Amino acid sequence: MESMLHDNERRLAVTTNWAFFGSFGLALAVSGFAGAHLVAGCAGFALFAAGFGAHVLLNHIYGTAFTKGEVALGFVVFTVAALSFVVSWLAAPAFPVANIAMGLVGFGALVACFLAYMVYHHGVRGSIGMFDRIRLNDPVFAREALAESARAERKRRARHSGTARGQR
Amino acid sequence: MTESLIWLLAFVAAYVIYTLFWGVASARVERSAEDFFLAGRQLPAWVFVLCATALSLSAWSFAGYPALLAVGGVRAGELALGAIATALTGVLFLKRQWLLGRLAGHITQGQMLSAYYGGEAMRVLGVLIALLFAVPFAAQQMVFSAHLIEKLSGGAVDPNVALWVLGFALFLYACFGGLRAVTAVGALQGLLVVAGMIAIGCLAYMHLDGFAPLQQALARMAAGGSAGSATAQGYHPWFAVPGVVQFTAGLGRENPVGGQWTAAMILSTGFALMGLQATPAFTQLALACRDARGFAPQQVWAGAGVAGLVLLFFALAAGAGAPAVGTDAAGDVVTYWIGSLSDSAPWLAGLLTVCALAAVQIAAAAYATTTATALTVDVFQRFMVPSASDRALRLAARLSVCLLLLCALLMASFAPRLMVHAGALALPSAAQLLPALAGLCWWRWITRQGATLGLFAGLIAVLLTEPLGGAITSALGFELPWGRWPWTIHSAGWGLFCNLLICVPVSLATRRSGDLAGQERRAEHHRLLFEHGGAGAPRRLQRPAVWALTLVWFFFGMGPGVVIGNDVFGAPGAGLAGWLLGVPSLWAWQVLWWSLGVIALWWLAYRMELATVPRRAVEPAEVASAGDEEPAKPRAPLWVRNFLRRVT
Repeated sequence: MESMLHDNERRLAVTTNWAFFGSFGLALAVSGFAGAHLVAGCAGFALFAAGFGAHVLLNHIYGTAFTKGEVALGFVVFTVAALSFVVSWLAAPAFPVANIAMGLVGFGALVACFLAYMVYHHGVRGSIGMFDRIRLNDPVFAREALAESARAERKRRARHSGTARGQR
Repeated sequence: MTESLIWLLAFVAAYVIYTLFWGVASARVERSAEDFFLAGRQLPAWVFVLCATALSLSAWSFAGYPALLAVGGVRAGELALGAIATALTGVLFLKRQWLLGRLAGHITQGQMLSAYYGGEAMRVLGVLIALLFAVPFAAQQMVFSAHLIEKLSGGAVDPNVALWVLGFALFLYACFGGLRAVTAVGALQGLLVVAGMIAIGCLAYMHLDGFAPLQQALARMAAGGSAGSATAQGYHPWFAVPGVVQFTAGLGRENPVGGQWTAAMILSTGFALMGLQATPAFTQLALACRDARGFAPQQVWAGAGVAGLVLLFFALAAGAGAPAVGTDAAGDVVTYWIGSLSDSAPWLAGLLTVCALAAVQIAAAAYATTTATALTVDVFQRFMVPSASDRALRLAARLSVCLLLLCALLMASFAPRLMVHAGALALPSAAQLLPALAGLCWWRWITRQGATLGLFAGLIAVLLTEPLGGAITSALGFELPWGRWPWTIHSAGWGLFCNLLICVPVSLATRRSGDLAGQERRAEHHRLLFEHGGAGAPRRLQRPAVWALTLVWFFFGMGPGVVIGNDVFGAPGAGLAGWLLGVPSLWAWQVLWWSLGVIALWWLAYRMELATVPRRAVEPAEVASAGDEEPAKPRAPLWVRNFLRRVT
């Protein structure tokens, strides 16, 4: 039950975070692209980056990593948005320069945030190696990843039960 | 269908899906009635901070306050200091109520007051006050959201349809998930309300081309004078408080010179705002907290600091800046500002509409859920079915939520006048709980007789100084010789005056009466409160200084001293050159006392430990709940009890 509440609380924090930063980020980014307002668009992307940073912080607070669903959703949303931007750029002859700059800066900043997180969390070698092992579908990596995930879960549970004991 | 309507509906739909998601998710982890009533007493501190801030601000601050500024000018900005007054109530009472809730397992404020004072009157009066918030007050706020959607959709969405659809969505998540769902959604609503107010303020600054044009517009307005409504000192009524008090017969009978916002009115409205954190809803929100870590940050930084900042700089620009851009939508400025985006940035207009909706729904949902809990615990369980099972209690609470929201929606649709008049009673009535809470948390000498009779007298005084009281007495064939808020004193002020006038002498007269068990019970409560929540010895030395600062703050920030602010930083009509700080003197005065208010609250909450985590661990059930220790005898008729047993 305690674990369920803990998971629920973390999920609440994550959804609140993205519902807030995501909605304002989306509204500002769309405003930026619609009116070729560089400041509004960049502010929108900055909010997305802030949402990502806050999510990482929440993961740290709750002692977890990104869930598979979160990773999948993140990649899908990012890919769709980036593809939309590229297609608009290539297909629309009158795509304003300000929008191109905004998209490049914004998507570039998001990629930079992601890379910074990877490097901080897994190290340079680990980050690159992880992609290699994923590509090769290495069973050793799968075992290591599972073991790492189990270790993180045990650590989280131990920390959480310690907190609960302290409260009691 | 226009683009703006599509974006509006898309954002509203996304918001409704979010609320339903949390309604279902909360229902899935619900295991007991306490889960439904108090989120299992596991509310995280950060959720409390966001929810309590949203509930303190609500639609009144989001839309009502800018509208008041657009009509009443900078002097109505004095009400921004209500953020300090509201937070002060929280600092004084919430931690101690939380402690008592933990020690004795109370669920509602009525239960707590009844257990402390004994008797049932406090319980019943508490439920009545909660009902005022859950039905007419919530209905008023829901009407605002329906009209906002109607206007922003260009009349394509009927306000009644919007009202009922949004009301139904609110019912679903509040009914499924109880307080856990309300607080889960409330966390996002808190962020949306604050961000929405900031965004609307920024929008106003953008339309005005920055801060300097706002200063110039205000200077022009102040120099221009006003047609016949200047204060006694000849100042423009927008920029000066028209005296300490004016002995008029009340609105509707005699209009005060220079407007109604005298210092007495500002102070007494501040008392009404103090009632906000004294409501049964806030008590339940505090009782739901896992620990006391959220109280001080909410009260000092979020409730007083951020909310005051937003009200003084952003809402003020949205309200007082509206006439400067030539709009005549004085009473509806928020709709005007959001509507100004409909063509250029419909997605932002949709998002800001959701922010307004969040301000409305946090209040309606929180009041409906907590009042449903009060009805279930304090009426259904106490008087009808004392042996009700856990499942029956949950069902009764859900039915109560349904009934309350239905009443609110019916009142909003079919009795708008009654809604406005009855809704106006809510805040001043809640302020009448302050002496009873002072007895519960601080002053042992306040007795059951004093608190109950005082509360009753206060409620009567509130009723008689509001239009509903006048209408009732007229219907009875008796005309009151005064109108609304006589002597430019808000009904909350009149209520508290009568409340204390009865409470203090009656308490002093009955404190040594024969009720020895009651005296011992109260003494035991206070001993435990002192042990768990009392400040350490060094801190006690600071007590006179901090209370002196608080009184000084009330005198100059919201009381008679406000009139000094009229021209201390330059005469209102002197223009930019004559304004010492480049803004009207009263505005600078408000900012000054807001800053000092935050400092005073910080001192009280942190240094005096009135809102910090208790030093001693809290062991549940250290206090015997006097009102509940003997099994309650069912008092409802047998057929009612049989019916309820069958239904639940």
